[in-house]
Amino acid sequence: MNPKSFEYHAPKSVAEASSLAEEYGMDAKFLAGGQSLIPLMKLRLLSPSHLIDLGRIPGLSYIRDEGNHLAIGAMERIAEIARSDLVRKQCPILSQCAHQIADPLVRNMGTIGGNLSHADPTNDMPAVMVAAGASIVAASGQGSRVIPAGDFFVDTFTTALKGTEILVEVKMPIGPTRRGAYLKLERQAGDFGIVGVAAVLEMSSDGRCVAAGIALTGVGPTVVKATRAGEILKGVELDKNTIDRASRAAAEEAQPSGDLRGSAEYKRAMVEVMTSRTIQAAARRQAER
Amino acid sequence: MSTTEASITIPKLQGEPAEKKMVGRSVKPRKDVPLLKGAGIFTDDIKLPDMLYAAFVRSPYAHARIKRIDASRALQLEGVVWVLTGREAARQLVSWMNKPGLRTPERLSLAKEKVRYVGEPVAAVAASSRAIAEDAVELVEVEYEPLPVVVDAERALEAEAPLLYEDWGDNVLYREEFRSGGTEMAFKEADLVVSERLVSHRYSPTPIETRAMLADYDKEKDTLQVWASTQFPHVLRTFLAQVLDYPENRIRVIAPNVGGGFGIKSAVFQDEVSVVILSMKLGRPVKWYESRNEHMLTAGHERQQVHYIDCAVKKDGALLAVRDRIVADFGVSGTFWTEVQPAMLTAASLPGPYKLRNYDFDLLCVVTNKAPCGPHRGFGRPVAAYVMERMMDIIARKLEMGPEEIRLKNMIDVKDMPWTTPIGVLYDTGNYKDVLNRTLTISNYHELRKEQARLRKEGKTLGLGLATYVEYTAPGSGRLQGPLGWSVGGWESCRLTADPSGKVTAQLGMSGQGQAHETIFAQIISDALGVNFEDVRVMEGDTQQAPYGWGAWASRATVTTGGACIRASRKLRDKVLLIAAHLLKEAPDDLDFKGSRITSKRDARKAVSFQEVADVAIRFSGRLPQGVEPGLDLISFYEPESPTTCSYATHLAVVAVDAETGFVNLLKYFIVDDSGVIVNPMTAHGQVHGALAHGIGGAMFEELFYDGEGQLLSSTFVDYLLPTASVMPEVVVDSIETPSLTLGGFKGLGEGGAIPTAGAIANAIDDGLSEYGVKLLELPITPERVYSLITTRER
Repeated sequence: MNPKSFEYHAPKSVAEASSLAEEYGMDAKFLAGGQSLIPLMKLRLLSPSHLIDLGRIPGLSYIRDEGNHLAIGAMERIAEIARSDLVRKQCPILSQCAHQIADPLVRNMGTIGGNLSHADPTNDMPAVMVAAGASIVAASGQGSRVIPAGDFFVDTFTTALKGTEILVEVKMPIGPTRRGAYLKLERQAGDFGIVGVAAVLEMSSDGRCVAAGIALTGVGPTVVKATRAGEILKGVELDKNTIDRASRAAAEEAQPSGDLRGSAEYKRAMVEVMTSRTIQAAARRQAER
Repeated sequence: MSTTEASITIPKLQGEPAEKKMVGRSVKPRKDVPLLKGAGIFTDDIKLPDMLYAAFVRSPYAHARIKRIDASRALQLEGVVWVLTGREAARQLVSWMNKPGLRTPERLSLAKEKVRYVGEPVAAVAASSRAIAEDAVELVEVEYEPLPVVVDAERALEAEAPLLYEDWGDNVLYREEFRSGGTEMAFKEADLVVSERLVSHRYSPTPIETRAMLADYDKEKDTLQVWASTQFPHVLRTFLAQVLDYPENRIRVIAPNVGGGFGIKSAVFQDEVSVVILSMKLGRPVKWYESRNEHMLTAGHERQQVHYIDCAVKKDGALLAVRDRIVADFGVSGTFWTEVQPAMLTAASLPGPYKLRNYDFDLLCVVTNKAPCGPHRGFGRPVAAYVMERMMDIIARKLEMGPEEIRLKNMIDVKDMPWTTPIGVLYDTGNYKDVLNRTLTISNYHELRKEQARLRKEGKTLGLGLATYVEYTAPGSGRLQGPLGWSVGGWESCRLTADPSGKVTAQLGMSGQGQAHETIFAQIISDALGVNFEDVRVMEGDTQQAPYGWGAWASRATVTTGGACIRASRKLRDKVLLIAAHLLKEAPDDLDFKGSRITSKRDARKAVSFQEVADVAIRFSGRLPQGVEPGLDLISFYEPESPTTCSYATHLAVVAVDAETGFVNLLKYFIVDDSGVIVNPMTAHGQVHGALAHGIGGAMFEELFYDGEGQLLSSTFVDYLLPTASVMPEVVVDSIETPSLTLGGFKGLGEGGAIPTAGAIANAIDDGLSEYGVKLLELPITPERVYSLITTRER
């Protein structure tokens, strides 16, 4: 269980990291928390010749309240997000999701930037980002740009990042009318989910749902945005009939394939069950601030 | 802990101290602190000068002919010393089992002409580091000619199935038939015949330390020293002598700390033999430690069986007869040394605690293109308990009886003990009904039933599942060498040595993997000898120091080694008393020996310390009585006199089922067992808890899943799910102690917790979902399996 030999780089700035990536191209991989990359390398499923460690770049670990969003540095550890009072108060869905990722060992090392950049369809964070309409900040030596989470996840292990770009920050919208929940159907704590559902509801003062974002984990080549499900919830009261219709729509929008965690049929059925439970959980939440 | 009235009293040991001092006490295990601090030395921690590291080229095909192996590129890599292939040196891994009809598959240390499962070792690289060895593995070019693959045992029996061993003409490794005589008649007399097809899956015990071996052949001395993560150092020594055709008295095997065995390490696999061959060829130490991936591909695969069972019953629930046809999937073969025994034991264990007089079985052990079937905690018995205990519940439901009712109706009465099963296994002591009733009591079973009815009205599902078993442990030579046809002894050994300072060292032929042997055998010796517990040191695992022994398997260590410790202690005690009597001018019978002190029963002022007696025996031997040899150093051997002893238990699982998702929540789990005299309740219960976790893993999470091409899809812990603390229920363990007929009254217990677990959990789920009319027949019980049972019935 040893990786193939590789060259290790520890740049001190985003610009330096980006130029190393430019120099080594496809032979290079960025290393964040290493919780997906290192096992893949040890199993020799992935053998990059150059490893560019982002861990020595200062200023990439933070959680800041920016009024209408939380700004989270890419190298912020999952465990820090799970522990953060600020996140728990301002953005409970993110806190709830962080708590459900893998196990404490992985959470202590894993980072939000690594989690999102890896774009594993069974990673939990992408669904939360997509449901919440988060923005992702990508930087390179040439500057930075903002990518909507809905456009960020392109395919399995593939994002909208260019080879020289590094995910540096996540902007997670917050606000008094937003309510969100992330529920994961997992066989036991620490396992990848069979399915996961993120729901973020924008509620009006009279109890109607103004807007809704629903996104699904583990039932497609990458995170699946259940657009129709969201539309069904928009502008109506969240009664049982509405929630049932939205859940059925989410199940139809899922693109599951069968594996050891369940057949495609089972996963689709579970999307329906879990979407219903997640919408209800989100609706039950107090306003997020 | 409670003690019921013993059905058989064991004879008092001669000169036994009046009150038991150490046996029965929850003494903290001696090794725990160093192990928890990380100070334990395991095979992989050992580094020798000039040591090489091995890595294996393994077959990516489940069935293929090896056309060509080209290692030239690998040999050019800096640091690579040698690449061994089967054509250069392949040794047949011998078998110690000789049964009519048992075939001997080709089982070479490295595959030569043909590979038969994914992961089979094809070449062994020796290099200056493990990383280089792994790099070299990728440079070895092997040309294969893929052959048709068969992964399903029932398909392997079809006429046109691919053959693993062409000269056999079929894929049957072993076939056994048993007929009781009265079965046919009993089926005619039955009010009801219940027939089912029950399926048990393949999984593995996954010890925290994978396999590891360090072989050091010294060319100058012509000696071979082997450190191995093994459950049976002496057996490994004899095996290596046979396989390598090398003098056994030049081999030393050491088992340092071993991080769990659970059966796997009472087997020897192809790669381990290759490591020794490499060392002997190169004259340098060679170390290999198994990656988890290799482990999943190779070790401890067991329990994949299909049962076609018919039960003949009367209206009142009386079980008249059982007929079972068993198809056991062995992968490419059994492993050295247990071969086809896991499935033989399933067949032998099926009658359980029931007074079943008519029992027929047909056992077919079949080869397929999967890893070999090796021993795994519980050893065939969990499948037997699953099949039998599911059937009891299925029959009970048909007859509208309670699951506890049908079991009590059929259990062997205490007045009928000892009981001999139709196949001739003797159940020595025990009270099966008592243990079942006690389980009902401590769980408040009847209250739970009311709670179940109440919750059902709220649309919630609570299920209760009972399961029970009888485990014959510590088999004696008569059974091993008779019905099992196995060249293995059922005894164990203890060498006791006292030094002039009055401390005692026990060298045991036994070898532990974390069962607190250093503690419990010191407890036994302390009581039986009369020496303070603190002054007894217990050592195991080095064939150069310890007398021969067979190792820890079949829940046998406490029974067999415990007996050897008692016997050696008694012998040593006799000699100590003889010397003390001479020193005190008393008769030996008039002396008391306890607390490391020998005192006159008549005059307490007349006393001598054990230290002084030991000093006389060794340094001041001139003071010995005439005719008494110097020294306090002797060996004893012990084998249980009764053919075997049986422990047993009843389990009760309480589960909640989420009918929308098929998810099962284990709420509570009750175990009442009888393992005879318990030496150390804390370590005993620890083993029960651990075994239960193993059982839960097998019932609900773990599966070695092969696709149609014989590729293992669950070869990492991402896909092979182990139970963690989050799924463990609240566990309540209670015991009764019916002493066995063995020397210490012990019965085995290391495996029991894993035996009826799948049966109890399946029964609980089935019970909870009875309104849906589901019938769980296949393991493992995954959420999807439960969900699809519910939805299929709803439709």
